[in-house]
Amino acid sequence: MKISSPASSVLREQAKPLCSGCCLGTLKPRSGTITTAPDLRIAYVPQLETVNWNFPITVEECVLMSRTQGRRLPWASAEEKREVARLLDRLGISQLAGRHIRSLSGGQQQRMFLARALLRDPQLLLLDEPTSGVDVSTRHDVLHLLADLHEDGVAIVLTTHDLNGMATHLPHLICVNHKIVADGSAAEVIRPEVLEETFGARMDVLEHLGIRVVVDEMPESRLIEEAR
Amino acid sequence: METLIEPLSFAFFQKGLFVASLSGALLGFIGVFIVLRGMSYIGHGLSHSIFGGFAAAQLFAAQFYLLGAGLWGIASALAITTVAKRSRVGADAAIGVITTASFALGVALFAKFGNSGPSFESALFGSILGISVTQIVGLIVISAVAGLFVFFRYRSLLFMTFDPEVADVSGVRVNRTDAYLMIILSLSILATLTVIGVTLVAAMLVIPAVVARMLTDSFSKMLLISTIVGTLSGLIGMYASYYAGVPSGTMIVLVGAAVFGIVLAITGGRGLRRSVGLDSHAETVVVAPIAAR
Repeated sequence: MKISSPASSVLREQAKPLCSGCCLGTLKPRSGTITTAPDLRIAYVPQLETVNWNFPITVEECVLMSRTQGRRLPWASAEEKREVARLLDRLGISQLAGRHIRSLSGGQQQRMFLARALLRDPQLLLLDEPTSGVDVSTRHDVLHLLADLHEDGVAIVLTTHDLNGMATHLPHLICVNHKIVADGSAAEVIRPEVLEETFGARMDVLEHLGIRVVVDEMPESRLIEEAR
Repeated sequence: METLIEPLSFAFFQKGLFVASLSGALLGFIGVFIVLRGMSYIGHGLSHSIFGGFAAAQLFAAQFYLLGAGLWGIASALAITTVAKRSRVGADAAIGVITTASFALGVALFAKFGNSGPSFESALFGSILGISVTQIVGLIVISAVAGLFVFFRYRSLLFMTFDPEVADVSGVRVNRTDAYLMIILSLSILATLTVIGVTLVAAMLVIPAVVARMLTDSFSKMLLISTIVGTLSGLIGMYASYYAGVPSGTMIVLVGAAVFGIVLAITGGRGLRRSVGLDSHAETVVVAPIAAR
């Protein structure tokens, strides 16, 4: 797989080490080689469930921590403060800057980590399940933000289990289940046989207003009713 | 007033007061990182391990016992982090074996060959008698190194303490920074060992940090408050130890514990909730919902 600049999506959980570990060289591939551009700026948005929410840290402190290069002083410069404020504003959480991270909702937490990642001005943005545990409006915002970043030339790789909310909206999908099952656009990849090989469960794919919708396989009678 | 000034007429008390306050500050400062990473047990293990080095080193070269103990401590610190990283399960057991064996060796050596440095009891519980100029200078140097290290690596340290995996991905040299932190921890324990004592030094790593955590939700403030609580425990504990005629370490720890009690009484449930999870990080495994709905 070559990550140049198309936004990609990888399904299934093996993808996390796949994209983060390999790009950094913390994991060695069993076969093949990985070449990264020298001084590639990578930013990573973790899955919310893996975060230590009891850690004593405010939203502003959390966003700022990712700026480890350059300035050596602990506190933010005026310029950095402006940058953080601008990012929080862009993500719609500027009023939360001084709050403790645990007091945020799932969607706000996701936006905070996006802000932290964006402060690094990344060339490659990795996200682990960015829409798990967030509400519908945050999911939409995340999708739009990612689309904007993609426009700006940021390469985006994310893992997701969210087929309808996320995967079908992405330009390029890779289904992974120990090996690459399928690789291509949503139209090419979101097919019952591919999904069954990826997830080990039978699913049906419908089409609604030109977008593919994945549903659990239903008894034939209901399926016909749904399709109407 | 008289009670505060009178002991100061003794040179040993002046030195002791200075060393105790600075020790409290240093341990409170470093303790924040240790406690937040759920490594309190490592602090406890390290102090015991260093005691072994302490006893062994003075057998060979009495004047270099601090150096020997320091090297021993650094070696065990790095051994512990390596073990802890390789296999998460069993890290506690590994620490238990390495450090208590080292401690036992120290006790055996002390009992068999006696000692030329501090007495057995003062090594265990702390003493302000016989603080040498070397020790004071050493403590100042280590405090300065710790302060500068945290100052210039503040963001990396914070990132790595909060979220080591993402820090790693974001260009923080986690392993290297981790090793530096462990070396500074060993040296800090070594430098404060004589005043606070092997068995009590771990408490001073933990108490100020926990108290600070109960009082704030901000990392930078926690660092500041923890350092202040450590300093005050050292200062007040020293006076208490003078008047009660007991080893300095005991009183310093008891003052720290009293501060903890007072803060707990004031903050109540809120403080307790904040300190929840200081030792066990969120490792909740949530089964990702399969999106087929």
